[in-house]
Amino acid sequence: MTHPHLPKYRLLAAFCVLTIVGFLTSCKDDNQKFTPSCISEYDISPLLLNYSDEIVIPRLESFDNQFDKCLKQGVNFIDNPQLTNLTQFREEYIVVYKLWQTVSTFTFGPGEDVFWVNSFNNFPLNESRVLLDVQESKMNFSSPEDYNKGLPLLDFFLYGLSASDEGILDSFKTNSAFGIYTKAVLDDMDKKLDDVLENWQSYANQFKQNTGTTDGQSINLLVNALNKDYENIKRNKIGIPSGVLSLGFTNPREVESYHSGQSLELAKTAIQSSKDLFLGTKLDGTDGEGLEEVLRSIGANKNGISLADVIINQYDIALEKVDAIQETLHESVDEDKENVIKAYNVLSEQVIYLKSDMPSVMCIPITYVDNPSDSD
Amino acid sequence: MISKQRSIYPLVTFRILFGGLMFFSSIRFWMQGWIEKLYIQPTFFFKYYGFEWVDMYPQAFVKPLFFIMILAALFVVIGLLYRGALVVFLCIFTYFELVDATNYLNHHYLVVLLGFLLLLTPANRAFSLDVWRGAVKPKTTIPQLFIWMIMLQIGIVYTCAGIAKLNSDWVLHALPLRIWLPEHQDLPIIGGLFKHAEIAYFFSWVGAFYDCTIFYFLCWKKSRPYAYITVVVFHLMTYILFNIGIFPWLMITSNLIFFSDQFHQRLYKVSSNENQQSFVVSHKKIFSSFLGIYFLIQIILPLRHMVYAGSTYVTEIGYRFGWRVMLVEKSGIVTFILKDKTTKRFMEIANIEYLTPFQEKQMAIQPDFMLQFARHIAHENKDLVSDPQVYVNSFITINGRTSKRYINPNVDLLTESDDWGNKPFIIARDLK
Repeated sequence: MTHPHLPKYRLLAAFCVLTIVGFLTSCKDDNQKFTPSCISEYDISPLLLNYSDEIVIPRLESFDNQFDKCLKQGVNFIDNPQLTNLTQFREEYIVVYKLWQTVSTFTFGPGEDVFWVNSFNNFPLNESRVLLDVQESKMNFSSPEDYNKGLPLLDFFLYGLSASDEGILDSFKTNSAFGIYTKAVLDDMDKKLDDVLENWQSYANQFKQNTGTTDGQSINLLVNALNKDYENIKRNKIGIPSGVLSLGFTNPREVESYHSGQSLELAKTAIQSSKDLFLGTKLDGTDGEGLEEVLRSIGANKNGISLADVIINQYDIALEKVDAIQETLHESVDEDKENVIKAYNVLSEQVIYLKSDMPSVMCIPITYVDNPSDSD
Repeated sequence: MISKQRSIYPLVTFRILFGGLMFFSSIRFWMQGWIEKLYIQPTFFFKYYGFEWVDMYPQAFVKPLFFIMILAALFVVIGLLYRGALVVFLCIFTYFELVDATNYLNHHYLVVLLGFLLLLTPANRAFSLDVWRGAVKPKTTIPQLFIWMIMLQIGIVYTCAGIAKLNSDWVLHALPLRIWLPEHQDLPIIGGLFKHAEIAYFFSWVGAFYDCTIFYFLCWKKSRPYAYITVVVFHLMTYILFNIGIFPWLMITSNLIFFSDQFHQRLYKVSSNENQQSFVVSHKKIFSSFLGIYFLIQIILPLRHMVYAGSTYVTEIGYRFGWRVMLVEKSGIVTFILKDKTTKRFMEIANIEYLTPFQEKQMAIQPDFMLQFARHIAHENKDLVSDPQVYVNSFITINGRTSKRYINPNVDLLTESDDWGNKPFIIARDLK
């Protein structure tokens, strides 16, 4: 112990031994056959091109065209509240609501600035609040928090103000506030839709150029938006009304489009749109480069089956199960409960594939959970 | 070892840089709005095993406490009321760590440990306001053990982090760096390289070699300067590439402690020839045995994961306090089902009504959090569900794989309790 450095060397030697022991023990895990399949080496430019130019913009344009027709009929009806005008307005409105389901996913980019989903389709509507606002002529749609507007409001005014068509016409005839309110709601949507469509024309270039995978990059935005939209379908359209989130006590009044009774049709359209988006199907129905192609080309498998096929199959089962529910949804949540729950469970299963499996194999973080911290 | 004296100045440098880093990082934490997000917004806090009694203060106390902590860090830097200030800093810092286990970070745990070791030393006996105002007698030398214990602590961190990297995903598949590096393709000059798997392999192997060996290269006098340059380059690289907060700076500053007395003395323009005034430990035996126990724990804690069934990447058992740093890309989705045993009614829980998004994200990959949350939702809904059971549908993905079911969906989580055991309700235990 006379050597002054001896204790230090002993300590180091002990530490060395510890490292080696650790080294040996850590090699215990078996070397499974596994090749990661991230998309970083995969060129996603054609995919982004297909999404922006063949899917997003055409879908928005088609929605916009239909919306303009609806707006025209709406103005016509407000000026002259007759039954024929009401019927025409309703017809156009039903188509608009259906087409909304094809664009509800586009919450990113220009859609983000206008609170896309909340501005167009925040349901259930607070009906008593709306009636109060009509009475007091309060029409403040500029505040983003005021979501008692959009398509659910039209649903209420066109179908729910009274049990009979005469009653509805009477409301519009006797109180002009309903007409003014309806027009304001239509204008609010029209304005936002025009903004989004116009901004997409310029945003498209940026969208096509952001070929990375991180937060804010196009593929990341798309995958996250697809998931968010899909969860809305599952939760808002089927889950909440069915009572799975409320001890089985159903909420029939909380279905989408309660008064016009289109809930199931809208849900099916939404699922089909989500599927088409996954496939990369263009508006004209021809197949284009989509997430499906990415999953296939990176060879993503789940339990030996191609993940793309697993997801497509699950979309199809979901469509089938929703189709099996008797019209209308708000009646079926109580009378055809079994089918509703089945549909919900099938929809839930897809969340695992879309939100967990797909981003993982593509190495895309699901970022709509923000990270208020460092990591290590 | 405890009798042999060394210059006090390596410790003084450590005190100043440690305090300074804590001062700036706490201000940064505040400015980022993280106090609100992590301590004020949540209505529920996840606990550490054994520290369930640590509760959140009323909101009004949070910011004043944080302010006192920042002030205390500053006092440590200038060496004013050094011991008291360091105790205050450590207590508040540790409190904020313990209050929500969601925020566990290895480097925050390291701050607690290094701060504690520093507290054992008389680092205010030179170049401090305590000396200047005559509150303590100045000293020029201290037992070298004081310096070695800090070095050893740093060595344990590196070595354990290195050993943890020696697994097939890291070494054979360059994971998770193969996932993380391509995210930086927009970096100037080097960004373009990151999409190539070869670069991920290079970084993985260099990283593992660095962690396993840097301690020895820092100890060896001849390699020390080069080792330190490597430390700076390595940690700056991790600073650029990853969102790891103060960790790089903590290591870059702390590693200066490996340098010689002369190196540190030059920083303060003092020579070794000045009048030696030695600081002597009064209860040598007690102090040495205390340190012995401390380091035994420090070696056992990181290695404890080896006695558990399955892989720590998956089960998370033995993850905390184990220096398993930046090791895995993992995420999960978890749905809780609250059931009434009597009425047979059940409902899915919307996690987001009880947790912040960040808490939900962390819970989805940490089984002990799920147990705590199960109890929380049963409690919160006790008026609706009087005879509760909680089941969970939980899936995780690890390092770019497809998902697997994590927790046994048929186990009522209310019947499970957190302990040192194997947590048999975890059904996914291995990577394959």
